[in-house]
Amino acid sequence: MTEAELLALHLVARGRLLPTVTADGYAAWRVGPLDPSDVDRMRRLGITRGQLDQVADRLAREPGATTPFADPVPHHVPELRDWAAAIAAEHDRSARVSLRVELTGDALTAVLQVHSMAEPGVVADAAAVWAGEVFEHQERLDAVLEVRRAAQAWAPLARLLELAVPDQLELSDDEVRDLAGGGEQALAAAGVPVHWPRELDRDVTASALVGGTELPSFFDGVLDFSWQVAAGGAPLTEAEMDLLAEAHRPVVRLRDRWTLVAPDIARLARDRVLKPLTAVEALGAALTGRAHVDGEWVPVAASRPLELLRDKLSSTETVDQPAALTATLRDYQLRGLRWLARMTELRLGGCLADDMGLGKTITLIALHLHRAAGPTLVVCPASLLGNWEREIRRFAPGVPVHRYHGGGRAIVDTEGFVLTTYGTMRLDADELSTVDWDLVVADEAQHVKNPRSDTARALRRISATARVALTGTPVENNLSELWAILDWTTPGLLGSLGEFRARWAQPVESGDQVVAAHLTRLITPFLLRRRKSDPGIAPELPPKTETDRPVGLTREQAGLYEAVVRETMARIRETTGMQRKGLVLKLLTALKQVCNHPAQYLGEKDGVLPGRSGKLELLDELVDTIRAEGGGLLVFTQYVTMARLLERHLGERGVPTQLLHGGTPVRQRDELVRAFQESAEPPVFLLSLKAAGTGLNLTRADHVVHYDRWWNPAVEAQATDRAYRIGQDRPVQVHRLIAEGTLEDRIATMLAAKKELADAVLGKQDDAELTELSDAQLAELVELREAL
Amino acid sequence: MVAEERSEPIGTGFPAFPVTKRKPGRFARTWWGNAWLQAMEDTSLDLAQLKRGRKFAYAGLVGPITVSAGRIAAQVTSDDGAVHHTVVLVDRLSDAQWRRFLDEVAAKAGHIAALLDRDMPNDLVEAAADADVTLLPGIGDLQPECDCEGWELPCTHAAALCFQAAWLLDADPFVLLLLRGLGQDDLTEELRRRAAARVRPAPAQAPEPKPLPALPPVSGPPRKLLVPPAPGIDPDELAGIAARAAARARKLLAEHPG
Repeated sequence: MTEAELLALHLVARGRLLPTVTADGYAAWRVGPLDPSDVDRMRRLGITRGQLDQVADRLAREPGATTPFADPVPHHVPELRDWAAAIAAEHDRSARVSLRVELTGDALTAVLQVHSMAEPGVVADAAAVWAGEVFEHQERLDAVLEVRRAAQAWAPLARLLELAVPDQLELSDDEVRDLAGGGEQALAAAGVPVHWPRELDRDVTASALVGGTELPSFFDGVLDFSWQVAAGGAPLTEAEMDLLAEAHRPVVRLRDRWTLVAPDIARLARDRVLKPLTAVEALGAALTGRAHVDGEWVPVAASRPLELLRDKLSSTETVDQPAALTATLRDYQLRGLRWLARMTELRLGGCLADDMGLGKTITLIALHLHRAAGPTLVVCPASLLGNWEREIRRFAPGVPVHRYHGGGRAIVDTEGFVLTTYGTMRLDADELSTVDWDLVVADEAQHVKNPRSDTARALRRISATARVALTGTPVENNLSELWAILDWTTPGLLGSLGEFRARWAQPVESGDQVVAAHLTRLITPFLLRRRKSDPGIAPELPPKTETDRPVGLTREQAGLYEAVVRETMARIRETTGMQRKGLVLKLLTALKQVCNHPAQYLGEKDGVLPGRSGKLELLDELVDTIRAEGGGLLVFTQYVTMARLLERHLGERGVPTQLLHGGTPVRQRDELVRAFQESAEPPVFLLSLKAAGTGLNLTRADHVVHYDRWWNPAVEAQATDRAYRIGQDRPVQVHRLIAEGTLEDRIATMLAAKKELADAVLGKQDDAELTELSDAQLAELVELREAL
Repeated sequence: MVAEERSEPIGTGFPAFPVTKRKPGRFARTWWGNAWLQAMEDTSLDLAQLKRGRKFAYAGLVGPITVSAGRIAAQVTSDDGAVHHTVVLVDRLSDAQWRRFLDEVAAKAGHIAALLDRDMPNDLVEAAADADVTLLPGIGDLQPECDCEGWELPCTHAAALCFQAAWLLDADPFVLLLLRGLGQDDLTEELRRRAAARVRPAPAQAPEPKPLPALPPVSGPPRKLLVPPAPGIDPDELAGIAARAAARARKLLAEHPG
């Protein structure tokens, strides 16, 4: 950028832009009014007015505008010449004025100084100008015009105009206070700088001080809070602040120097004691360097208690993976564990907001084992109860775990884990609060993002040593959700909802970067979020992770399941041969369909879909979280009818979907694939595993859900990996929905435990081998049992 | 001030006032415009005639106006379409009176500032009056001359011209001074002469030029653009253009810390 362009930008940025009419009558913009320093710069660097005007004119135009001065194509407006000339006369004066304040004894006098644009760098007192010693007559006229104009910004200046020679003004105490308190800024905005005498100390500032030398015994105490006035950066003593408070005049003798004290600082010195801060509020001040006092943010002075608070948060003791954990935590999971261990140790609580699939559950289980301190209550959506129980048993075997859910529930003994749902917690908050919980965990915490809901209120009634929220959604993007979660984990950190809205949410949403930066500093210690794509994380993730997702059956499903078993088993026992084979296949198919959704089994065209299938409920949870992450999701099912039910259901929830099955024409198939691969927020892709063929590129997928299964793992894996090339570009999580207590459950166990045997039993032909089972074996396979 | 050195100034021309809507309240906007009209009413014999003149003033019947020292002239169209050449002569102040007037102007720095800012300070007029310099014309100071055949004094045309003179005064108090015999340029020139009366000492040594500092960072809000309105020009719109340009400039500066 050239010097001319730089200066032109600087001038326009300061609002020194004037409309004008060119010599040949066109509407244009030019720079002005210039300050003497600008003229000096132009002279020294050889920049012409024309160069500056050209840049300014280009900058002011707005594409698409049609009014005379905004249109990029200049309008011919010779009739506006006089108007433009008047503007020039008004703004482009040959002289500027400034005030030099002098100190005589303890009284202040403002002396008028004149600067000439013709001789930048030369300043003269008005008295000298009027005596004819310097400058021309034109400067005199422009100087008085400047004074007249500036008197509108600060009225006492008008007294100068009453004199024949406007040389100086004696300032009364009130005028001094006014000038120091805001008059100076008003004059500066009007182009009249005020220069104070060097012997007058003006560096008097106030900040808020968190007092004391130690922290109160944990976060139950309060800390002293007061205003601290400092002169030249050095804090004043109590006696000195009293002196300020009692001073009648704005100019005060302090530490052997004359000091100018602005009225607002004197007021603070008088009423210096402030309402004490809670430890959590002080923590906020330690993190952001500011505190909210009397409706404003004020800087907080450094002090010992704040240092101590900061130290506490950043202490790094090593925490090792608990011995009782039957898995090895990945590095980032270990870091997550350390962070949770510290926050819960301090009783501060926190929110772990990693992407789905990074292992929040296992990290939490490790935390429980590490703390070894008392029972942990996990509150989660009903569809995830099975998952929690399974993972706890798997990774912390021997630790008691019960579900507090459903009729006849009771809190049995309080050790280990108690799992409950949001719905049950809402109803039984009183019972649950009687237990002395060590940890309360809110899984998928976005379910309590509405702080006014009964569920959120109930959750707050349950006390614990520490609270941890888990969520997969980017909670920092939605400020009211952020408040709801952090206000639960760490009450008092963000203030009340109203305070939070006024002090943080509104300024941030209107684009205030400074406030946004402070908010980030405040919440960073309490929120840990890692994404799959983070550089430290991605290498640690295997290309494909497979998880079994157990879900319960609804009452309707259980009823249908048992009815089908009863009736069909009865008929199977009575038949043999081909007829029997046919019945067995029919049984297996019917049971699979019941586990999927009653509407599929019953062949309903328009039935109600939500609330009737455990698998559907879990799918909804997964879809919500995955879409919030912007991830790509494939849902495989064997049945086109089920795919169409899912299409309808997701459509009713406002989730975009696309469907691919055997009958889809090739061109449409390519379109669907392209739409999925290239979208930032791809639609949920419903696919029939068998019929889709080979060679589709679906590498955009981050998650795959097998809504129902083939029971031959090799074919399944082949189809998913080779056919769709998932797991090639990015790690993929595969979720297999399994209805607990049903045949799906049993077969899954068999597959997991004994792969070779499973191959022998099931062979390569789907369900064909199952038809060879005896009646007794079959009965055992399909019997509906309680969840393991 | 030397009369013979002063050349007879050429008249200053003002475009004709178009048909104007009658406003409620006083005819003129400023206190001196209204004082001029008061003076006119005091010297007139026929108030009914003045009323007719006022109607003409609003009706756009007065042509372009020429103002020169002691004289204001225009062509005025009558009801019947006849066009008349109308002049109103104004008594000029004497040289001695102008000297005393300029003394008063110099007595307070604010006076010349006010005049240049198109404002006639009340205390200037009073101080001048105390020094026996009445700016506003009194009885006998106004003399209408019109080539119409009206018997009244002043005739409707002259009255209309006087009314419009008040509008010219509203816009620029220097017009009053010119009518009384002294134009703006001559006035400021005279003030300059008085100021330069002392011998100017040799200019002090220019101070050592300090090294050119870097451009300071832009801080504080940009200066707001205030311009008067004009036909087809909306001052708020221009202020908006300037403000947006300032924002763009700040952004560019932030990206290229020169």
